Amino acid sequence: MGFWVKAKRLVRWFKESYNANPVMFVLFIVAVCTQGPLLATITVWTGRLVDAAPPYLTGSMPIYNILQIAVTILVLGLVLIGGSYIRTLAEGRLQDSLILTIKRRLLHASIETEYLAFLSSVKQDQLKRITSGFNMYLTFLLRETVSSLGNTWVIISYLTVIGLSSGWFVALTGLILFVPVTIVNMRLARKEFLFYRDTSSEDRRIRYTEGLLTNTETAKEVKLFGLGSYLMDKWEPTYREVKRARSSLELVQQNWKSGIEMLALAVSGGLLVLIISQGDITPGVFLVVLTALISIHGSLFDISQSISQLTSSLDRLDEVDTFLHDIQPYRIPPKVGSQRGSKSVSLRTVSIAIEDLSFSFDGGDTFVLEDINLDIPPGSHVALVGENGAGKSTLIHLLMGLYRPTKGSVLIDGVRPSDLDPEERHQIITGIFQTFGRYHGLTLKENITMSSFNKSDLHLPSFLEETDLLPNMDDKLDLIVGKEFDGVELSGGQWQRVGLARAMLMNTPVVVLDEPTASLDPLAEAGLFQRFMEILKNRTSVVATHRLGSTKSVNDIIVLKEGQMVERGSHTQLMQSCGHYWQMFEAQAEWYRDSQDGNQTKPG
Amino acid sequence: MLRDLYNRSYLLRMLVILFRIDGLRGVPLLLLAVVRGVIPAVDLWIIARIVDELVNWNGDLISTLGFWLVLMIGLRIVGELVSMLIANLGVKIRDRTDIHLKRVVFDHIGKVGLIERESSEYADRVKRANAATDPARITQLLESIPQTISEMAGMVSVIGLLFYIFWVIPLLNIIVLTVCLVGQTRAANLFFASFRSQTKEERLLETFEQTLFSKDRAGEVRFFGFGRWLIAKWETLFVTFSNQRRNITNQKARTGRVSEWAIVSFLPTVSALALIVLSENVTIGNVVLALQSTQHLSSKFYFLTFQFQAFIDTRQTLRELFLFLDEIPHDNRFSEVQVKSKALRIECNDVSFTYPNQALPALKHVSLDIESGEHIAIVGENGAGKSTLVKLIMGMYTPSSGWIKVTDVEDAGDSTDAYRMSSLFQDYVKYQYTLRENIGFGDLPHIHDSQRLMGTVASVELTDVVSEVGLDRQIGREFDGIEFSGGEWQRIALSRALFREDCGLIVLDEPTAALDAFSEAKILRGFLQIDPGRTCLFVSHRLASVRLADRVVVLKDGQVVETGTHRDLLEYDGEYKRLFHSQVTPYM
Repeated sequence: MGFWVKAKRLVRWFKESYNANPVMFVLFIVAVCTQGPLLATITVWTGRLVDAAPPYLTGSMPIYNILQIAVTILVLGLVLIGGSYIRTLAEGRLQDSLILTIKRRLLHASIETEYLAFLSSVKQDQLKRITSGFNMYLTFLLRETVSSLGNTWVIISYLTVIGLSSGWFVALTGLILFVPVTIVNMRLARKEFLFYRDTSSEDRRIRYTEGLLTNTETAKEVKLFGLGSYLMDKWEPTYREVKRARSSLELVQQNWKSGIEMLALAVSGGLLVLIISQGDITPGVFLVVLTALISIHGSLFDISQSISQLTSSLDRLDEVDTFLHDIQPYRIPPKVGSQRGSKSVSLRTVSIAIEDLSFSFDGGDTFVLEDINLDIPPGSHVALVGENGAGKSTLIHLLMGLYRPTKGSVLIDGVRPSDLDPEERHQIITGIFQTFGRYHGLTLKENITMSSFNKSDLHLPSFLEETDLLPNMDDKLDLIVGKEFDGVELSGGQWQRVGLARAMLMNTPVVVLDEPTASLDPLAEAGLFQRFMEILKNRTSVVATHRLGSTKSVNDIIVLKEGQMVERGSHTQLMQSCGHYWQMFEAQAEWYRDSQDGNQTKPG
Repeated sequence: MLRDLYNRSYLLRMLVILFRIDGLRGVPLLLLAVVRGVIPAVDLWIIARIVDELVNWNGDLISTLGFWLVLMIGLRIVGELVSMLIANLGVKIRDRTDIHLKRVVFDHIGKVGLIERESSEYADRVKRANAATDPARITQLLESIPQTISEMAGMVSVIGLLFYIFWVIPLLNIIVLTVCLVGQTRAANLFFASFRSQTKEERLLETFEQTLFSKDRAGEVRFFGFGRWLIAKWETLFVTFSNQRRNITNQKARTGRVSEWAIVSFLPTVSALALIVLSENVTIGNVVLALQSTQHLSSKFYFLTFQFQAFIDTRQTLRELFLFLDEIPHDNRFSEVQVKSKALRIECNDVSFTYPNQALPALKHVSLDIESGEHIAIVGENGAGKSTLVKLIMGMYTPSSGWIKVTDVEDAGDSTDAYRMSSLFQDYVKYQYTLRENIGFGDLPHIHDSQRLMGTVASVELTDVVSEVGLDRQIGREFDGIEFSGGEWQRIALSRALFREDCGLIVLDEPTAALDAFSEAKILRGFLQIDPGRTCLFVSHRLASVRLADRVVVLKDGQVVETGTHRDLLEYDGEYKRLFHSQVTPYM
């Protein structure tokens, strides 16, 4: 990768840091850059102190002059330390601002990426790489660049000191050192980057197994089956292997650096001899030159160290860049109905039209849904039934507008749901996911109202009272959910109701439900299904379920089989036609027939 | 008493561990560290000689001056060589220690009882104990030990050198430096205390980030559009949290800077001044020596106070680790050797159970006898205590009062805690390894018995899938293996439970997540037919499944309210009928 490309990107990230907090950025840079000249000045004054000793001892210099020198050094020292304190303050604030800015952009980018693109493993892997160690590599960039800048100033200042006291030729010769140091460090940094790239998959495996051993969620099984030592034996060789490789890399780096260091020592020794051989040197100047050489030497090493850190940080930041700039927008701009916003919100009845709809996840020919044609008149309830994998969930996602049809169209009230942004969608459709979110760390109330937090006319208590979804929970509404935050813990059934309340709180004309009662106990389930139907009165609804019994009351049942719509009708009609629905119903009913007999033998 | 003291000397204990692991490298390492430490003092002395030579120099480099110059450069190169050796030795020791400690921690975690592991407080502790085994942490510790020794050796030799010039200088230095040390220590303590108290807020931040980055929540975030709202919430928390953290860092920095000034600027100047003005024994070389030695001493001391802070931090971390390891685990049921049996008999007598930090008991006075070979269904509303009862019977929790006795009928009365049991949990694990491991984990000694594995697979109707994928291919999305549907994963987990041979009890805790009611019942029926003589407990919501049990236990609010066969209970106009009537009617 070209040096200039890297430099350019570095400059760009520098601009980001500046934008994150301009005041602190400037303060930080100024504080860092004043340190080099200050240090050099202190060294020069210290030399003067040494050279002042002989005239003082021979009585040709009054003590006043010596004290003056000493006080100057002390004051300069105070300024230096003050600067370094300001540097700490500014750096801290700047770092926090930078993390906040970039992470916020990442979060926004991730929620704005198109749904299916976001789910792709490429994106997910990228995200995983970006988020691990994020704070560290982001702040490294800033710290290392700025400290290199500061070190450059130290070098310039000390070179000036040497130049002024022993001639510029010597000063420039000192710079020669920079060449081998930089070359070696660039190489080592590259090697390190390659190493981490090559071992990252082993690293993930190691961490996965460590997780199985230490996580709470896996504790039960690992205990029950006594997997502890097996897992550890699986973990150890890989861990050892990666460790060994990493350590040998580390040693190679260390040894190269030591070698270079020794070379540098020899070169600065030579320089020192050169300076002395030019003659006419006072002890004070000797001290100044010695200190200057050591400082230049130290700064050079710091810079080259920073360069190697920067290289790996920049590579990580590249991925951040890609992620931020590669957002496939969630919404395609052209809108169908331009008067959308002006329509009245409250409980219009709305129709759904699906035409020649086919869908495949990769856009190819393996269709999960094929040639679906479906008209749902305003205000009607439709049940979507079929076996696991028949395409119910996919159809629900299409109605929700999260997937875009591969062929054909889905229209809700004449509008493609996938073209709407969430605000607009809120006006039309709501729903519940099969695996809805259980958001720990938010309050119970937030868990419900998060679907419609921007609605001012929201009245949660009356909604809860009306629907009776969460009885006896009124006093817990403002508590945080989740044991790990010392909050309330909800049972599976309570969560299910929270999920439903989240969906139902939005008073939209269309409601879609994906297996809404799957994890409820039977009593709650039956009750809840009744409640739906009451709440959903006058609203257009689509319910996906595998439990045929509960859909009896729905007049319009759509039967899916392997991605195709095979039957449609009421329960009675479908039973009479003896098709796929009938087969499924009979198979399910068989499980209960027996118990019906049980009931009949003991009438009571 | 002495033992007690030793137990609390965490750094010492760590050192002992280190030497036990690799004493062969440890001893030379420490010796080299001392050598490295003394080199600067010699260097400083040479510089003073160079300066003195300079004053009377006649321009000839091949003289005493030249000799001293070469010696100085040579000595520094040797110093670098020694550092290189130290680094090489250190890396080897570190690697061995790191692996050892990790194993010890994993081992320990494995032994701790489930009820403890499920508490959030414990999760925090594991996190902190794990922090102690972090390679970076160990590197820091291992680098700091020889470094500290070097610096100490350096300080002692430099102080000796200073005494040799003028006794006032070292005295002055020691007093000022000690005052600085006290200040630094106090700041460090403050810092660590705050670091500990903030873990919860950090976790909250993390949770929000995870939600927004998560694949599973992506649909809801987009559909409901609450992403921006959550980001705003995250931001507020981030700002508060980072301000708090920064305040503490700044406080630490303030104390640090004051002593830095005293060290870098004040001490060398005042020392040189004192030498020039007060001492009789002044040569230019000695003035330079005084200046440089003090500078050196101070910078080393500054480093040492820094190191001291690091030691305090390290000690705290090690304290977490050792306190964690010193605790004797309460868990005794899941010992390595588990007694095999055909069918277990279980008696629960007046069992009550209250979760830690909870006011109300989850189970109240449950008495229940389960005969050997019986198939029991446990039903009840959400929160009735079904899962708790199952965990108690399996020995994962210990009753708060009452007792549970597990006996093997064939093995006369000799009751032990460690009978083999098997279970399929609601939140079973999808191991991102191979199919062989996913199923074979049920009975590790037979993991290579492919024939038996395939037999088990056949019993849950998974043969097609398994023969297509093969037993030894990577599965699961995590490492780009073959991914299965929810239902297939479910069956894989079920075969794992079934693969466990010779266990006297098998427990199925709501194995419903990915299967519809009828697939569940079908599998359950097959399951019960495989080994009818085995005692089996299952928790289910689904009537289709419950019907398969010999006896049904109905829980309500932590108490057993009804027991009996499915038919008996339907007849009896109680909780069971109320629960299940609604499920039957749609199919009538």
